[in-house]
Amino acid sequence: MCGDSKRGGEATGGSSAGHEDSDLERKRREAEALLQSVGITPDVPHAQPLRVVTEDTCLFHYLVPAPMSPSNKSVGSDAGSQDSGDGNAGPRRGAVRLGMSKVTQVDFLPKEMVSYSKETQTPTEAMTHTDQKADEEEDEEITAPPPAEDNQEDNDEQGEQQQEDAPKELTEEEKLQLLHSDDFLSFFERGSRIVERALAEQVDVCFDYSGRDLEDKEGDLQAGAKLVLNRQFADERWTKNRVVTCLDWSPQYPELLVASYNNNEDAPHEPDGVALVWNMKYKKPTPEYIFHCQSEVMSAGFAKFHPNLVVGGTYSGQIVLWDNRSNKRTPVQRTPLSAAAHTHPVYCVNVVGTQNANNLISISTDGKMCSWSLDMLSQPQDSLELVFKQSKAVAVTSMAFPLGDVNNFVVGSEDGSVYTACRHGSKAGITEVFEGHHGPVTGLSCHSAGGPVDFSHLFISSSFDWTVKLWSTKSTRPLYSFEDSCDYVYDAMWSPTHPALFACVDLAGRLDLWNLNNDTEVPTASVYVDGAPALNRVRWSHTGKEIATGDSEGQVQVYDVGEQICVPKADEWTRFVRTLAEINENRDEAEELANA
Amino acid sequence: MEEFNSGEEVVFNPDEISVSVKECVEGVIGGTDYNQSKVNQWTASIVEHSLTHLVKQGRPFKYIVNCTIMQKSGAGLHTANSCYWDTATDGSCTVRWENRTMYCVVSVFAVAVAL
Repeated sequence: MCGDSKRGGEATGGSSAGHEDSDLERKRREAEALLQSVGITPDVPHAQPLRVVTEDTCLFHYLVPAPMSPSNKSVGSDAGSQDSGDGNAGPRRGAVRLGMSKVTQVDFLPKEMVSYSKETQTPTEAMTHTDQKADEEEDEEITAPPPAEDNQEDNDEQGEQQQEDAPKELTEEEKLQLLHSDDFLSFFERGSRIVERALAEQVDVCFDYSGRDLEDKEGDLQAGAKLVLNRQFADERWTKNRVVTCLDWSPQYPELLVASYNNNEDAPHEPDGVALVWNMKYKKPTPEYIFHCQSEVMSAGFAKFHPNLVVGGTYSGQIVLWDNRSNKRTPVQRTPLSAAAHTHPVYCVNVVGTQNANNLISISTDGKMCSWSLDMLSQPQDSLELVFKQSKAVAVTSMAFPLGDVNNFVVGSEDGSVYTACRHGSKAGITEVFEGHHGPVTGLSCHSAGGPVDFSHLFISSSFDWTVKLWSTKSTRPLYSFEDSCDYVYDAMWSPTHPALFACVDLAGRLDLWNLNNDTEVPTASVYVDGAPALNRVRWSHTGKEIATGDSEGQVQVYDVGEQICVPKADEWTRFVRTLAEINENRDEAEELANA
Repeated sequence: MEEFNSGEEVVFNPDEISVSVKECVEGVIGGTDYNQSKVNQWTASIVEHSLTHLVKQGRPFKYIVNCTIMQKSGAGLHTANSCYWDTATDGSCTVRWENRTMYCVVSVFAVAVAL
């Protein structure tokens, strides 16, 4: 616009001065002639002074050409200079060699967006098209159609490419490789576990809670039932022909139960020691986790403060640690087979302590007790020989820690005696002997139901002499002897919730529940396991409402205990105090009679 | 009015140009972040100032100044240019500048004026 006005100005300037104009014209022609004589094409005179054209803000006024005369002058001077500077101008004018310049490129690389997404969705053309449209703002509607079209073209291309790529048959080798890759194996394990649970589920969707169609329902019958078989766990491959050696419930997940097994004589190629984690929550019949090791597992348990670890004590004296986070079925850690650790079968393993200060205690049948840190199983933190009267090593078959105590504990031995011992202090080792059983002690359990009254000095022991005896750490003679069984009693355990309740199992396949507040002569509830296998282990769940038993056929049974039995009423503790008092009285009387 | 320094070798000097253009850019968008409402002003003033500097040098060149400001959003940008001219006397230079939120590319093309 400025240029135009100025052009106008020039024009007007030119028209106003008439003879000036002709003068100018004449001068121009002369200049042209001069130039032509030199050989330069006369395009310079017509060259407009350079003008910068900008959008709105026209700041370049000083660059706008002044009226003609300066331009004339410049032409003239140029012409003049060119006249004089012949050599200068010559080559520039004549041979203008033009060539291609190098390509200048500017690159800004896109930022790599790292994204994690678990879902994949192959984009359909329609989807990306609508996405594009949704993203664009209203202002840019005009520009919207062209980009959308471009996207569609891209998608078409991609679609074609996908079709070309899609079905490519893998070779056998590639397939095998893929099947054995870590990713696939861990996916497969997880996936198969989940699918098994889903398949085993048998939910009755037609259940009517109003009870109208409860005719022959077991509910009524069960109202008075005391011990009902809930589940039975066995695995064709892993538990057949093996004996259940130990049971433990997970402190973290009340539905998980670990069972350890000894070797299967009929299958020498299978691993000798097996530990299976069973899941009560789902109806699938297969174990949640399968762990095995080279030597028979004699005792196993969940590591109390490490929810992923399962500890096992084996026949060879090795303590093994399995981790359910790893995909391996073999132990992730093992203690060494050396004289520093155990060289005899380890029948007792237990994690004692608190979250921050805990130790794994293990005792083998040669009387050696080692305490380990779960982080480092290469050597025991502490070891202790359990000897009685400085000479007799105690062949420990069972061990128990009273509630809340990490120093004092009780052990039962093959010679039929029970000993109390302590781990630390000047008198570390066996403290006292409790004689009373006539056969090897098979199981020990310390009173663990916490309540208003503390009964942690009480413990029970089971033995081959057909009896279960009740002891107090305050006295070396048994408080009471339960003699209802007619066979070896293999294990006994106090209920974790009810102060007067304990369970015991024997060789005849019988599970007994004794409630001392009701009756001390006969069990309150009793049930025989199908097939009458020898029951090896009994374990209450942490809720105190279920009992797991393991038998010599490799089967694990889980029984539901009737609520009227297992749930303690508020006065149970005080009643038990009275019961104990009675028991004590009876015992003292009996002694007096015996001595008299 | 345009009095060129005649008598001098008229060769395009890209280094000198890039320095002065960079200064221009710094001056306009030096400490700022990308701002949609101001970016028009910025490109205009970068072009104007660069061109002013170039013209002030008084060389017999026709200049073409191109300025691009792109917001840093993770997208990629690629441009290229090429010219067919007198490679002895003409030249171009491209200046790239960036800060945390935007890229700025200024291209200057100088075509020798045929005198």
